Amino acid sequence: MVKQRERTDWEIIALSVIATVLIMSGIYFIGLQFNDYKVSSMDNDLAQIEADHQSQIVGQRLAEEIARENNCDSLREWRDSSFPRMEELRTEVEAYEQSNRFDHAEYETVKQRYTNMIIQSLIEARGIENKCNETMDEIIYIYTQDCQSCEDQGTVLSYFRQNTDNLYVYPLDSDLDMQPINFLEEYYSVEEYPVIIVEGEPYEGFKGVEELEEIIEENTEEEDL
Amino acid sequence: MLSIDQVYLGIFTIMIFSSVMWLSLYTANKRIINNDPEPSRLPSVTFIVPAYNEEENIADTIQALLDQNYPKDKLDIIAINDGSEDSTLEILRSFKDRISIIDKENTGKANSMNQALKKVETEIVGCMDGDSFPDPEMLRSMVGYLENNDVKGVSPAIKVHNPKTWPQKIIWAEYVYQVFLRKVFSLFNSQYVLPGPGSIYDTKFMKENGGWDEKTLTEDMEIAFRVIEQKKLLKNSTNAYVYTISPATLRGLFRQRIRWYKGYINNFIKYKHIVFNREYGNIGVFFLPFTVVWIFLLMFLITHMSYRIIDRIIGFYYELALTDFWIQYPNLTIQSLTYFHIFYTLFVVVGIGTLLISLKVSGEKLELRKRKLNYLLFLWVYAMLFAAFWVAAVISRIRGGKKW
Repeated sequence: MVKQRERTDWEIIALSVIATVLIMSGIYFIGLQFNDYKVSSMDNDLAQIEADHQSQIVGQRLAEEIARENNCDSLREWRDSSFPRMEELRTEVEAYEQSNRFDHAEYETVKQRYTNMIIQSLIEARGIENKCNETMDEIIYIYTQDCQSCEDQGTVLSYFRQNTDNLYVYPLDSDLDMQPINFLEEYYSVEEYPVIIVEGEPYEGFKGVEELEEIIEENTEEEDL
Repeated sequence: MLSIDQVYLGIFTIMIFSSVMWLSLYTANKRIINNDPEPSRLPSVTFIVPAYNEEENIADTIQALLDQNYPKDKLDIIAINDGSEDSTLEILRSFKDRISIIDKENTGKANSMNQALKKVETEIVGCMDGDSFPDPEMLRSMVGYLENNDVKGVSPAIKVHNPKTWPQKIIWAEYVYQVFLRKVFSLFNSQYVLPGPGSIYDTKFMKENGGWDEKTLTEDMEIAFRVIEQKKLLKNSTNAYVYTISPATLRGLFRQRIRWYKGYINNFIKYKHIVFNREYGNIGVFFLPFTVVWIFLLMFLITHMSYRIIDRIIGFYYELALTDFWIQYPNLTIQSLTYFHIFYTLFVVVGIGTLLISLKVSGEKLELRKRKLNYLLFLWVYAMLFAAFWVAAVISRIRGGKKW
């Protein structure tokens, strides 16, 4: 018989290894499921905003067709209810991207739809400006992933968004390689990121708080004249 | 190149593996964990009490040994005054008709114990630090194990005496965990230390092996490794309570731990032929290599955590500089949660579960109200302290070269 000191309890070690593998794969599996849930939760939010948006567009067309008038009140109402919801969705998208640990096949599509919606709301907002005689400050902000000055720009813009009334920021991810973003980049011949476009004027590279304040002031003054 | 997520997954795997291993050993041995073998007869025992400047506690230590629930004719006590500069000797002399006293120059703990060992004539020899107080049933709970001829040493269940300062409160909780872990390690034949407060040994073995090592930093660990090297066994009793005084200050704790952990590294190197050696069973094949993995893991964790905290602070000030304003961070949404949070939750559950088991094994009650600070400090501060001590010990060992 082997002496007690010389015995190796392989059974215990092996069983613990097996149990560990089971636990690890269990957690990984739950993690994957949870990630699915997160993406589909964003998907749902997005679908709701999209549906409202669609109703708005259809309603607008109908009003124009039948009554031959711009329904400015309902446009404003839609803007005031949907923009905060988009803001919420943006927080979710940011939180998802910051904490993401899996590649998710459907996420790319969600992000594209989300981006489309931002661009559409940009167009709508311009419509409000034109048809309803109202000024809204808009900043189109194009960024790429893994770019420190883009992150800094994002920080500065968040600060602005929180502290300025009537300012709307439209963040667009250049890495998505989407047609509307590519169009904007070509149109404004963008070479360097981040880019902010204020009232049709592109500014490349990081802009700090003071610079940005000046830029916005300049452009709104022009408009006022 | 590994991503940081992959590194953390590896770390989680090791943590889960350890938990599974020790908890399943506990579950498999649940019935015998608190049952010590009943001795068929009570062997004769001598306790050696080395004392250097122990005037505050030595009287209580000796009294607790005299109060052992053990036949008086079978229990001898040899106290050594190791050149104390305080009144230790006078206090010892007040017990002189009941104990033997050796008074000598200061030569260190191991040498003191070896001088006493020469005079020991009983079957069993025990050691008791001059700042530790055994429970009356301590000895009786331990002697039964030595009836197995392969067993050469038995360790008790050590607890912190009257924790007052926050370092003592943390260590109180650590020792509760240690009572559980030491038992589980001993069941896995992987105990590697016979602590100074209250461990007992087979006298014949000790004399044949020349007693305690006088050159090492941790003679109580060195002797355990020597028992292992000779393929003999070490046991542990979770009922043999002994209360010891833990350092009251962080500085004191730091010095104690540097000595212990350096002692571990030194003994590991001295006995490296045991590592990965199948002839030594569990401790050689699995346990000792696994401790190295853990040490590196802890050192990585503390380094990376410090890096992250510093990075966070710098980032915070950087953003402040960008906007001259404290940015309101977005509220945490469900999107911020990942499967890493499942691991965190699991570890909290396992940590609390193990704490409850440890309390049960060591015969303590939760007493949440009274001990909330012990638990909170242990959960929040201990791991970082422990890892920092290890980093310091490793650095100190490397800088100290081969010196003991």
